[in-house]
Amino acid sequence: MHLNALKRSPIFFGVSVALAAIALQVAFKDEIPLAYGICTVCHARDLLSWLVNHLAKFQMDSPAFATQALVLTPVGLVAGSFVASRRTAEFKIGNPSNFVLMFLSGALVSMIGLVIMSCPTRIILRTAFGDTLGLLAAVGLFGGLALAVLVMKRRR
Amino acid sequence: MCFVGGFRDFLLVKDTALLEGLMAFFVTTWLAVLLLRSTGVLVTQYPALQEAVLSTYGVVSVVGGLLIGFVSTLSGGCPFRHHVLLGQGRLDSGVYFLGFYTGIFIYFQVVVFLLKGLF
Repeated sequence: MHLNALKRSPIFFGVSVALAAIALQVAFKDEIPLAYGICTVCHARDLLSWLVNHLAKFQMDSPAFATQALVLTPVGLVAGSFVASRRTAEFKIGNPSNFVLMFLSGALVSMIGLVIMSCPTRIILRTAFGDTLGLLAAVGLFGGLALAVLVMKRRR
Repeated sequence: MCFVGGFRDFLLVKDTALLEGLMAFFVTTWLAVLLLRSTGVLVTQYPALQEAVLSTYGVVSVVGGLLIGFVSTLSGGCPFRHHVLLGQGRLDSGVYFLGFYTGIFIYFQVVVFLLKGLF
């Protein structure tokens, strides 16, 4: 009973993902940049670059290692979530709302994320690695978050 | 484990579930990096804080983080969370996912050329 409760704890999840990210960093340390174990936007870029360069024979301007290895992190995220949600009966096709805003949000976040070379998860990872630029991005992230929360509170 | 969702839930409704996961992720990574640096497995070399703050990329990092934080909070979570929600069947996150990958494609076709003069 106690072990099952631990497995469902967010702390267990945070520790597991951190250890997985560190393990990947150590395993591929000569081929990937620092603090690259988990990053939604960077790995998505690598996946898309590989697919476009190899399958569509269309050259995308991306780092060399991104065109050599097929990075399947985004696929794993979605697949893992699907399997887990089917097991816990949480899978439900939801009603869509606000298509345009969600599409634009996704596009904006990925474009800005590629400029600063981090998604919010990698910003935390870089900060934990001691990257001062990651720390500055985290400060900006928190500021933007606080601003959005103020906007949400005013809307109510 | 979502930076955006964790702090947003905490600031709005004082719910610490996602924040606990985020803090566990940060502390575990920080301790692991300390250990790996001390044993020589990982070598990290980063600019000093003052140098980073005064650099162009430092300013871009702050502004970029601000924009990502703002847009992600209003969209309901960071990209990590939207990938997970897509696996749970949320069609909103599916549309976000499509926009996300379209944005990556547009970045390499348009934005990267506009930014060449900046860095």
